[in-house]
Amino acid sequence: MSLRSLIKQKSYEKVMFTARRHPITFVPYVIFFLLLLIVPFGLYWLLNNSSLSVYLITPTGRTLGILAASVYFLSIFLFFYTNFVTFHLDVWIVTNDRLLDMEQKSLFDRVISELDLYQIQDATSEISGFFPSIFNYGNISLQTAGAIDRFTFKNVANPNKLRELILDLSAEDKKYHEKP
Amino acid sequence: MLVVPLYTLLIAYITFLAIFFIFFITNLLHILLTGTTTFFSLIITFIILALSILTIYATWYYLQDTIWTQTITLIDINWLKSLLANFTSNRQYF
Repeated sequence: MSLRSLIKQKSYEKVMFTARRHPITFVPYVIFFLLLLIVPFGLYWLLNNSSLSVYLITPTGRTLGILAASVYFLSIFLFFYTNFVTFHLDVWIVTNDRLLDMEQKSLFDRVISELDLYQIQDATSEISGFFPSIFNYGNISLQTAGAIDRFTFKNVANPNKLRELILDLSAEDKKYHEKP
Repeated sequence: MLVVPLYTLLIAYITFLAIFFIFFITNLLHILLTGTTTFFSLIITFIILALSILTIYATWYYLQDTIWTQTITLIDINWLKSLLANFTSNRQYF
């Protein structure tokens, strides 16, 4: 399935841009994953240098240890992949007519919100913190006149530029909707 | 005394593998069906898949000579008795 069919793109509609969370915001997960990868090696070293090392050489102890290590590694791979998917599937799509917020909250929890561009009243971009300032990412909040009173793009790259672009597109769409 | 054969652990491990693959496929389908496949997502999927296959292969490699019919003692009342005996003999009073 393509993005076009997912958003049920209208014939006159053109996708202007898609935004995702900045890749740097995924780095803490990578560091945590690497730390979790090291844990069994440290544990093995500790067990090997303790009085419990006799259990590691018995056939049942060895089998238990290998199976436990395998389960542990596969679990952290799955944990990392699930976190990546929830990170990757947070997408904001801006077309010349509307704005779509697709948020993957967890593996089985997905929220899709939609907003017409002409309903945007004002937009605020926010870059707050050390890393956001260095890597130029932050949030964009859109105040709307619709049912959803606030729309937020979280941790997107170049928030100031995107805010300007959204406001330009909104002004264009308002012109079209205000035509008599 | 509670004794189980070693293949019980193998059955539990295979059950875990089945759950692992269900979740892995669910994650993969999420990426494919939402039309958000990118080079980055393919790379991550490939790395995770390769690591998982490598882990399962290593598990099989190290356990291929295991005699799965041998038993493993989960609970033995004698352990508790010896523990209690140790506790009472090492008891110190202030």
